[in-house]
Amino acid sequence: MSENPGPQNTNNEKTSGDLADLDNLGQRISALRAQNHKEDLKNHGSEGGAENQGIAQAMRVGAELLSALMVGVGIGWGLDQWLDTTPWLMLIFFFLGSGAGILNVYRSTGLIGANDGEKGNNTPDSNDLGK
Amino acid sequence: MANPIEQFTIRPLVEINLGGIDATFTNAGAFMLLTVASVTLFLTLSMRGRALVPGRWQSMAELSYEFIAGLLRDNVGSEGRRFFPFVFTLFMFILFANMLGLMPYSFTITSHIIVTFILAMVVFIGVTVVGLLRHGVKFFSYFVPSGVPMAVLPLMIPIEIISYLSRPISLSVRLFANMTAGHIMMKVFAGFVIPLGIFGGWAPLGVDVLLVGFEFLVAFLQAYVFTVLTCLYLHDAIHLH
Repeated sequence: MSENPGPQNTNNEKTSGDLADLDNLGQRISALRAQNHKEDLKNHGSEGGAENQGIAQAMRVGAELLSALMVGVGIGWGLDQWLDTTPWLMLIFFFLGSGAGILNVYRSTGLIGANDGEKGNNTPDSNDLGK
Repeated sequence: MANPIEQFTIRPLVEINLGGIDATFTNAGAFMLLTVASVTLFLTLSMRGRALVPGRWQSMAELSYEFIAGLLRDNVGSEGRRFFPFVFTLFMFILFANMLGLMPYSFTITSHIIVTFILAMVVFIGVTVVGLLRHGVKFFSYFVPSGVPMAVLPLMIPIEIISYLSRPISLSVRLFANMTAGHIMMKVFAGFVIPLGIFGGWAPLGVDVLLVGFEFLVAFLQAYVFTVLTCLYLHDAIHLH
């Protein structure tokens, strides 16, 4: 074991010694990385930093609620202009849009999965960020 | 006091008229080119050494690569690999646009809703096309939630469709609103510094120092959120739910 960095390598050529060192280093790095990764998974799902994800999620929610409402009212208003039914479709789509907005928020907070169904199969990470 | 909105003015640099279409080169266009150029320079120059043990610049480039690769792996899975070039480009473009916008005297292209809306539409249309190519007509089953009683379906399907259509709006409004609000806030506080004089001026100056730090966080987070959502939409398109 201890003969590895010994005399045979050094007098022959530097490169083979360097290569052996590098292999050794590579193995140590990958072992440590695997260990690290396991600990990360244990701690908070994945390597993406839990705090960052929390703030990122908080920033999502408001826009999700508002945008669905905007789209709903927009579709309703457009259909009203087209079909000459002002203001009924806009009223209906206002409520549909609110529903979609609340659905978006629920999804982005991970309280329900996308289209439910495989809720249990989601990795903790993708659940965190909603779907 | 300086007008806090003035920083968003689009100024023509070179007037170009293509057969009646106004294609003037503006400061927004200039900063987009600057963003692309600085991303390209950052990545090519920092990777030029290709050292086995990376230096500072090279490890920054490698970190950004691994960050996005990990994001794709976690959120999309192995099928997401082929979308890496697009997602990485998107992330670097938004990140550098946001960061360059924080430099003094610069212009923030992501503070214009039309820029963020086009970015979001590229993602939205691209993801829809990916879903359609992969699943054909079955893609539309995405709008039919599973495990819902038949009676509620007429209500749920429109809601699901509105929810799907709201994606580009929420993507673009979030990025635009955060960048615009942050820059206006910094300008408003900066506008108080001189009028309040040598004694009172320190308070808004201190707030502004904090805000600059906060804005760097927001600049990164918004690029991150945009990218994560792109990944999630890709996941939905590939796996349908």
